[in-house]
Amino acid sequence: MTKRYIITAVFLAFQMQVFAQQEQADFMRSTGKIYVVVAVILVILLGLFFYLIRMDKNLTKLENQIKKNGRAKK
Amino acid sequence: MKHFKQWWWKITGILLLIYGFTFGMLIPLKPGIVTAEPFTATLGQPLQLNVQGYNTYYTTAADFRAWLKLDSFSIAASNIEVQSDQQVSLTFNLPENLPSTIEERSPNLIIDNNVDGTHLLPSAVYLNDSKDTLMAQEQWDLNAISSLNKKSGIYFPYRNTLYETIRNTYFHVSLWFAMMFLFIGAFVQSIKYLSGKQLERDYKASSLTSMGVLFGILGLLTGAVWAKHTWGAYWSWDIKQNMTAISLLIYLAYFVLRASIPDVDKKARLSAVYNIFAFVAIIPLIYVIPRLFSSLHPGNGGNPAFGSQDLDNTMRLIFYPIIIGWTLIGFWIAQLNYRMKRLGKKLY
Amino acid sequence: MLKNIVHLLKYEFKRELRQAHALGGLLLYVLSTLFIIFISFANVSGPVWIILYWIIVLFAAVNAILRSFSNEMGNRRLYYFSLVNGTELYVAKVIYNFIILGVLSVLNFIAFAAISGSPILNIPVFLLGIGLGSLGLSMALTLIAGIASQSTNNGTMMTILGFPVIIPILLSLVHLSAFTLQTGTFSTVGTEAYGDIMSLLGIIGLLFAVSVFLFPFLWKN
Repeated sequence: MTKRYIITAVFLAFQMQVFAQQEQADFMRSTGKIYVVVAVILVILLGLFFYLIRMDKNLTKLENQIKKNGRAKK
Repeated sequence: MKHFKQWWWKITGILLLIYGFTFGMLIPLKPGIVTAEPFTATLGQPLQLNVQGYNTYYTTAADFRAWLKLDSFSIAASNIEVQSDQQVSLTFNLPENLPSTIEERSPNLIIDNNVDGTHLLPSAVYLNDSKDTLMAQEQWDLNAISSLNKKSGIYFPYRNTLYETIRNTYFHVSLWFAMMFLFIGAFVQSIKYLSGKQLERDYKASSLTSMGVLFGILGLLTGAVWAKHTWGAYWSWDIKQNMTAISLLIYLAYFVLRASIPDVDKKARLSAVYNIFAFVAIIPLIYVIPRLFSSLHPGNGGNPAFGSQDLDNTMRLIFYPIIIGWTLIGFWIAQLNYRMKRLGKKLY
Repeated sequence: MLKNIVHLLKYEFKRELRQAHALGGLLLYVLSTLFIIFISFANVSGPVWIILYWIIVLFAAVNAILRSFSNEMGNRRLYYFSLVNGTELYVAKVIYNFIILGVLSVLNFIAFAAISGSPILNIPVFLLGIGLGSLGLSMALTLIAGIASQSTNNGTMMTILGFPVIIPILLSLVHLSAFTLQTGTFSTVGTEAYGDIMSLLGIIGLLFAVSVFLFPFLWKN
């Protein structure tokens, strides 16, 4: 699962890099570089979401163990 | 922790972040000058400067004045032609010589009007010596700039090349402060673990560290995005970039260490020892080493914080609340993580 | 306290002499690394020389210090525990590792100079750097080795935990050594490098304070 995410992320980053070299550079620099601020906020949001998903998974694991054994196991 | 399950601090965190994000994005920048063309001029000849303003309202402005200023000498624009809100064409009749005591050849351009207040472009044009000896009548004035207008209202400072990204101070820099507070929390919990040997302390320390590492990674990524569009590269091997990357490596090693020890108590003991050591080890990384090297970051040459140039009083009103907001939210998420771990242990 | 430390030191050296082949192995490691470096680089400029020098010392230090703990597992540890306390053991280990590292660094310097010639013009300041470096590395790495030796696969853990922690020391050392590329008396170069010396001393003091506090917790279960 994690591997798949990483591969997707790497290729996405590569894709963005290619875009950036073509025309996005001008877009990011338009209107006083405000889109750089937007990108920064998006990065923060994505990071927080990633962390939440990870916590959710751990919680699901715990719940499943409780369901299976009637108690949690380490 | 008495306030462990109380809501007030969590709500405070949310409100502070909402406040910070809203006003951090809404408050406009002060008027500024993006460019003035041409970049070079010849002394003794008339110079027509085409000025590109930012957040300016030149068409509605009255009392429009402009100067080229070298040290305390200046020369006023003889003709001002406003083309649009952001564009104005200024004509200067340049004197034949530089002021006799001045070596500097790049005067600052200062524009003043009653709507936008005073704004300036540092080192606007480069003045070449005149090739033919013209007899220009113009002279450099001493202290000609007076009764400047001030723009009223709340604005963030305008900086060339930064432009709107000055707002990233709130979203990028604040993450580092929040990270440090979370690491301090983990440090305290680790010390408490060593003195009391309660596993809960270990859970708290590892949850706080993990949240701190998240903020650190986000700080690094947001910094890379910002750097790409102001310094030109995602990673420029700047000393502060390197040192923060290393501090994150130190804390990532903490999780490798935890994963490599199967016994619960031994894991807790060793990782508490390492956490304390790691916290102390990153102090020189952040406060000592950057002093030895030059940096692209503001406030370098040793100062890990900012100068008054980088953070004015309006910015402080947003910056400090958002730091507290991130810290509280960080503690909250870490607490959720900790409660989950504790629940798992209790059920076992 | 002092008596115990001296006893422990004596014991460590006796053990080291009994296993002289291990120390020889370390020297051989330094020599073979040197050979590889100078076969690959025909000419090494001053700053690169310094960086290579400290990297070799760093790897030698990691090996040497981890080894001083690997003999003390299991029952022997329990026996020690009944005799001395953690602080004494830590101080003894740091002194012992400091001496070993200092000797190793000086030998490395001699070997480096013999093979490629040395760009270092101010040897007293460089020796001061070696002294401070050995002290700092032995302090930081002794505690890390104590942690790593109790985890599974301790060789890997030692590098993962140790390398980031000693980067400040290493950077200050490289920065300090750069001043020794110029001629001058000890005092003139010394004053130029004053900031580095002070920052190294600061880091060493900080690491010592925290390690003395932490080591006893590693020692007893």
